[in-house]
Amino acid sequence: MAVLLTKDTKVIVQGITGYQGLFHANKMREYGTQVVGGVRPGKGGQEVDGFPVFDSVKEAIEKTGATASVIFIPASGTKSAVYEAVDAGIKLLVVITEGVPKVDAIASVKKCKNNGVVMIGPNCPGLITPGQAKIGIIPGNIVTPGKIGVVSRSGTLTYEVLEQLTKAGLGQSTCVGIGGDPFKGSNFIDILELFQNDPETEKIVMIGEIGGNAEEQAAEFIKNHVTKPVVGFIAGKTAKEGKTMGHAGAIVQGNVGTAKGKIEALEAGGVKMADKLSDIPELLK
Amino acid sequence: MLIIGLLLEFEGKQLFKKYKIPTVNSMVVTNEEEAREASTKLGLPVAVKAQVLSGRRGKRGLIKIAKTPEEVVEFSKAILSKESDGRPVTHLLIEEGAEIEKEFFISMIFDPDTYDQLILFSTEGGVDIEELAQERPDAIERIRIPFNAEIYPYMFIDPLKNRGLTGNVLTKTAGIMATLAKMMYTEDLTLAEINPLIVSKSGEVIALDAKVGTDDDAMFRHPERKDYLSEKLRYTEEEKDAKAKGLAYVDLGGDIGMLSCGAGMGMATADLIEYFGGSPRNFLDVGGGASPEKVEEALRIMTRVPGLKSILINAFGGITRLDDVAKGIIEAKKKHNINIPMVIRFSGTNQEEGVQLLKENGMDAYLEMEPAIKKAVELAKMAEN
Repeated sequence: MAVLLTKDTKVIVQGITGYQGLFHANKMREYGTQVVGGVRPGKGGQEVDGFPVFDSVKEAIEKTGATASVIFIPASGTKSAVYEAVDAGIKLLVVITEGVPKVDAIASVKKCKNNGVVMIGPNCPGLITPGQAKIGIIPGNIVTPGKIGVVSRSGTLTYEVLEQLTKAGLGQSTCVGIGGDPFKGSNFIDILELFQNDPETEKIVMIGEIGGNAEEQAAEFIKNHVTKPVVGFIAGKTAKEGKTMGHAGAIVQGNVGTAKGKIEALEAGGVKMADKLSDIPELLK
Repeated sequence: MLIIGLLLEFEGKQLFKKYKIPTVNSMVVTNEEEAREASTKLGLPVAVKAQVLSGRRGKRGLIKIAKTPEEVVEFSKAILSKESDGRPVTHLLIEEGAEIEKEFFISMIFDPDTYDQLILFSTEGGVDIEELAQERPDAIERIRIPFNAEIYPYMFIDPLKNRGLTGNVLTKTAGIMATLAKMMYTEDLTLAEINPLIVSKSGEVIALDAKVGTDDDAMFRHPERKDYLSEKLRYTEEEKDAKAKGLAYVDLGGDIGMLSCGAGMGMATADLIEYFGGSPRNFLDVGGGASPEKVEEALRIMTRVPGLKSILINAFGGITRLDDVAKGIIEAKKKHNINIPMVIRFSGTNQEEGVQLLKENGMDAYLEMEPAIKKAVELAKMAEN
């Protein structure tokens, strides 16, 4: 077992004929993911690197039975791609694209939530269930199957953590990179809940960073709903200047978003906080 | 505190004019002589307002009311000799004087928790609104509108009425709020704030200030914003240089230059530099999938600033190929004659090829990040002595 993704999940790639889309379609297939095809309007019926191409997500689902889709589409077309996937009946949607306008991101998230679709991203590395499958761009060679669930807001930092866990002999159940944008499909809480309910996940690692209040909310959630041990890390302790959303942001969210505030909140929630990334494996033992 | 994508006041007001939100007549000038001419055209008294990106201008002496042509010249000179956001004040807005009866406050954002549009209103505008929110939170009305709902002025009537607004002031204010709320979608705004929104002695409702935050990611829908003055003022020379090359640059003030692939990794690296007793100077993020050229450009930009004691390159190859990073480093050292001691850490995709290239050129790489960071800190300390 794992969360969200197994070797049986059938995945399509929206934007499969693009440079990134095709490159990562191949990487996903090499890792063991069932990449059953891709979508590129106007190129239906063709084949790229052995992947069948369809004109629409609807057609792709009808022909392949796909339930998951990963979006490698430029930011200007991302919202439309999300709407298409949701309307066609996709259940798990991973949006890799970065630089999606805020109003488009909010609309996409709302569309998914209203239709019971799990959305990961935008601006995220995707997810990987070691030994089974991956959707997105997390390198397959730094993970190993095991019992630790990993959820992270950062891309490369996640890779660093995964590699350290793997080197320490601590395998992972699933790793989910939720993405760094303020408006996103899944937040820490959504993934923490999945890990809490997954019998194969014994412990959880959570990687946050400065800004916003997702870590503070996660701390509250962990305190009340998570019984499994959680180890946390926050990047950005040295950041000199905060970024706010004007008075409205400051008034609504109050004094949140600093590394110190997040670390204190998570410690109060019972999370063991790592000073350095390299402390994480020890804290899990 | 910086707001990402904030426009200057006069740019925000140009946007207000497009949507017929009332403002007073004004002109942008760059010296005291132009200011005097503008005041003649507009009629005295006028407000002389520095066009800068950070707030609390009144308290910092960056807004003055001039009643005579001599005062216009004097105040303009004084404000133009000041600094804000680490650079000289270069532009002033000369604005017709307004007779203020009342001052309101409006601010709106998309709430990151609920994704609603959240609109704050107070009849106690013109003051420090964050202080007011702390001392008397009840003085601020909070109105929520679901994302993507159709927006009409009637939605604001009841809450404004509860705050004591009546008649024309009530309907005009509700109209302005509805317009502003709709603009957030059509103009891709992250923040729309008016403080103060005034009621004049003659009963007009006028935006006396404009604080408008735009979404950088939506620039492709508003290409004209690339040429805005605020876009030019927002970044330092190094940041502009980096941005033009598709890199991210943050100045941190210390003496260790730092290059990373990915922002989270960069932050964690900066944290560790401080943890080991060092001080990062700048943070250059080449992102994922960086080419040799990007790495070379990043090192060029990093070493533009004087006083670097050591350079730390912390590269984790995910999409990024480490042989590409190595090529960039080698090229940069040759081309830009970099003699600052350099510590390199490579782990991930094409690590062996990358390390091999470094060795052929008299360099080497750590495989773990912490020993590399310690070494960079040590080298910076040795350079001090």
